[in-house]
Amino acid sequence: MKNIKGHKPQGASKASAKLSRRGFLGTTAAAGAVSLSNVALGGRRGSDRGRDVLVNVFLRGGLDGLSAVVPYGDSDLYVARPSLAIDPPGQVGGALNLDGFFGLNPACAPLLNAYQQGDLAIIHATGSTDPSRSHFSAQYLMETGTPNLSYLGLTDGWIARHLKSVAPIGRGDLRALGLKPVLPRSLVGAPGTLPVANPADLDFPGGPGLAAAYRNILETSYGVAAEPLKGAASAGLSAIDTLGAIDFDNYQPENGAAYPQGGFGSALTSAAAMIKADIGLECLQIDINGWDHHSGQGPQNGLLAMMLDDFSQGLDAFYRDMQAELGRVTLVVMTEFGRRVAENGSAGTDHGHGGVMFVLGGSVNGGQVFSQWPGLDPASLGNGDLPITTDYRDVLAEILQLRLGNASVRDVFPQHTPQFHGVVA
Amino acid sequence: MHQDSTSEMDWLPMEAVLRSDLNRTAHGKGGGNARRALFTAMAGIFASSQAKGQVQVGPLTPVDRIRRDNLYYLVNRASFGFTPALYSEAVQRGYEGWLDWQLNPENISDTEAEQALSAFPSVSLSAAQLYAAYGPGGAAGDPQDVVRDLRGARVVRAVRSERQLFERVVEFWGDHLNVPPADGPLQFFRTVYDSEVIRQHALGYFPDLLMASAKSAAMLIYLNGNENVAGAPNENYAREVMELHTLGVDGGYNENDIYELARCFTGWTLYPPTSSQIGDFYFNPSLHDNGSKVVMGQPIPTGGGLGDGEEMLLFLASHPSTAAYVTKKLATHLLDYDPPQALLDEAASVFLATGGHIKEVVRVILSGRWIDVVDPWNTPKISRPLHFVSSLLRTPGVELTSPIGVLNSLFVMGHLPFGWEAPDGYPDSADAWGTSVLPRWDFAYRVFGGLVPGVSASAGALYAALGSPGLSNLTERASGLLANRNLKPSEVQLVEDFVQSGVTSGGEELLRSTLALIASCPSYQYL
Repeated sequence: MKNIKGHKPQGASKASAKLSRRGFLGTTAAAGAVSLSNVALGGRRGSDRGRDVLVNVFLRGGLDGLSAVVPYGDSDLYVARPSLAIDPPGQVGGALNLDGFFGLNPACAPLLNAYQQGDLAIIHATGSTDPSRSHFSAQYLMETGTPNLSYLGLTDGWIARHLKSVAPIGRGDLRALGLKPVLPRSLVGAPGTLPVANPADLDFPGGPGLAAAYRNILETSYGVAAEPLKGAASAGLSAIDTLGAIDFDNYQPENGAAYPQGGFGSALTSAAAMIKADIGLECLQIDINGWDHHSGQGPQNGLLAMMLDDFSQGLDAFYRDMQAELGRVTLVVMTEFGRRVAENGSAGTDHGHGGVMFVLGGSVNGGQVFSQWPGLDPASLGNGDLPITTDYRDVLAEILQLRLGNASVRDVFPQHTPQFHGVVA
Repeated sequence: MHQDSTSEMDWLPMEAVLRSDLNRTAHGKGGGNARRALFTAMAGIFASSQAKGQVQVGPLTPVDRIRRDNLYYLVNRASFGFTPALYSEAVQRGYEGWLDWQLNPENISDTEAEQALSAFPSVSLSAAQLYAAYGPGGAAGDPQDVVRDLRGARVVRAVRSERQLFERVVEFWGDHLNVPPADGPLQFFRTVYDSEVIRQHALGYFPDLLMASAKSAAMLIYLNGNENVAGAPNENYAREVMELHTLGVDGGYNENDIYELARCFTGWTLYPPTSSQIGDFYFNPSLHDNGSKVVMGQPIPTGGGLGDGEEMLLFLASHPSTAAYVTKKLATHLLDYDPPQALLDEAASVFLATGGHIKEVVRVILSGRWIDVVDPWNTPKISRPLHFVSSLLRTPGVELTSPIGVLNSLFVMGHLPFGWEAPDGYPDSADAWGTSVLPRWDFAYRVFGGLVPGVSASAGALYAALGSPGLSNLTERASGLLANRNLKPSEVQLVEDFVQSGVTSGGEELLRSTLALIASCPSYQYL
């Protein structure tokens, strides 16, 4: 087993950059105690040193980690994937070197910026310890933070359990949003939470004349309704008030950040606007569908490359836009599983196991790939799949404890004693 | 026999006590079963006291709950929304008579819906006709027009068809055997899949439905069956057919079974667009893996050819795990999130005994025998957005003329027809659909405000549909028109206070607002 954990480019001056950023943040948080929003919060933020806002990006369908973050230093990759593997750095269309062993897919080039600044970490050969290759079981397990399907009765999402175990940052009436029409499982059961396809487009029905009367009837009738309708109405009404005060239409990204067209870019734009508005939101989830490429995968110039390009441009735009807020944001990217090491007969890959995660933020020990690489020789694989050497729950638990102020992460992830790997400071 | 029992049921003092016990029990582990057991035990007490009309125990306290309306329960679940006309039909035919009527859609004249469907000419075309008319150089339009027609027809059928139960079951299979019309040829083949697979077999026999789905161009393309060849199997379809279409994820198969089943399906493909048989199933023996296989302990000898996959589909279709999994999912769709075990047992055994006759399984699930155990008045199911939207559009006085605006609303609600990208189809859970109410309030406001493009709702038509009410009976008429008065008394009171408050400018605004508010109340979000 090759242990390359902690590989870091030479000359990274991360520590000093981070210190100055945090110093700046601390000042603004204290000064902000007199601002209007902090009056409403009862000054909580001042004492709490500003817990991070979590942005959870879920890539549904099973991202092929071997195509996104290429272990070009492992020659068995090219045996298992004669037509799909990305070539080593230095060749046309070759990977972009990260640490002498791993390289980014060229379509992920925009990620190099945050990586080289030390604000983007990659975790490889990670995922769930459960071996399920079912999309739906694997997503369910990952989003409920549970170790196996014997927990099927536990329907709360891991973010929901986190939110229940910490005090709200703000008033607590609007704590998390799923930026899609249907609430993702990670947020199911969370207090003050709702799905919103487009936060810029929330209006209370009834028009100006009747809105108050409408609101009274709906607040009263839903106030005694059964869950989840009761909570949905309450969070919905808060969202109208809170998000309605944000001018999404005229939002201007900073530092020349250019979000890509399309769903991911616009969700990230909304997320940035809401985080900057400091409205007490603690978690946001964004989904990107369509990573299930059994056929015609196209990691070099095809479909997967196109999707990776959109994904990477989005993350880089968010990173640039959020520079001033980076000390209170952690963004994590996960997927339900990686794909089979060997390509199949239709220029695609079937469902596999170990995959890749990304963590972005000002407190991330970035500029490195965290991995105990198992090796891709057939004897090292598990049923043809990349084995998992880092439990995804370790990464999430570390973020929750160190960046989101959660002192009881073992309650969030039942039957798991997390090991921290130093992904965040 | 199914008369309205509102008056006595709304004033049962002990029931309030019981309900609080039930609610407490429900929080514990296995709450559903415990709740039902307790309810069943207590039901006898209430049945006897009701029978004698003796409910005067202690001081009378109003119980704020939806009334018991068996025919509403049936009509609303077996349709895309209650209408007074559909309810009257049920009153005339009786509970089981109405159910039998709806279970034989071929005997129900549906001319109005068929006329409305003429606005979506592509939905009845074959694959060859679609390619000719909407393919490269086609005169009728482009492939996206075909998808638009399919989505529009879905809404029109839900709103207009007299074959309401059939449409509800079609909706179920469309999700169960989901194929999204994402791009490329799927834009054509999804329409053919709808007409020749889903609608063809919706109330027929499950093995026929499964076989037709497996051999359809849509499924062969979507789950890569057409690229599954000897020596390099593509597992996509083999996995999903066991996990999603038949056995369920706990149905008793393993990863090796998936691999072996994928081998059975090698060589299954379709005629290309250049062929006159475009999209038809085609077995290519030269791409089939003819070696012996073992799937779930079933030995498959060498040389089986096409029979390998066909026989395995029949094996899967008749497996007890399939009977249990599919009938439970169907019962969940039609009835309740947690259908009673006795119902599920009977539905599964009917499934197995009839060779998977879907009509007979649906008959069992919706039978009036289960109402008291399903207890929908205490454990209601949240309607999915298509049902909610269709219910409003089915209201007398509201007229759907074009589905464009409605489709946009469904998209915002996360329930655009044929819009789910993964093979598991749209979810059907309170977590998925009960956590977002703003788009529902918005749609209710806009539909009765006449503000949804393609939907007319004139004040005159609404007023006439309400039977020309006055200020004193507007609330009652409106709750009757929308929900046969199946609202909680407290909700009715809130709306009544609004009506009497004079907050509106009166007349038209009052009429429209009252309807919108009733449709926004919690009770109207339930099936």
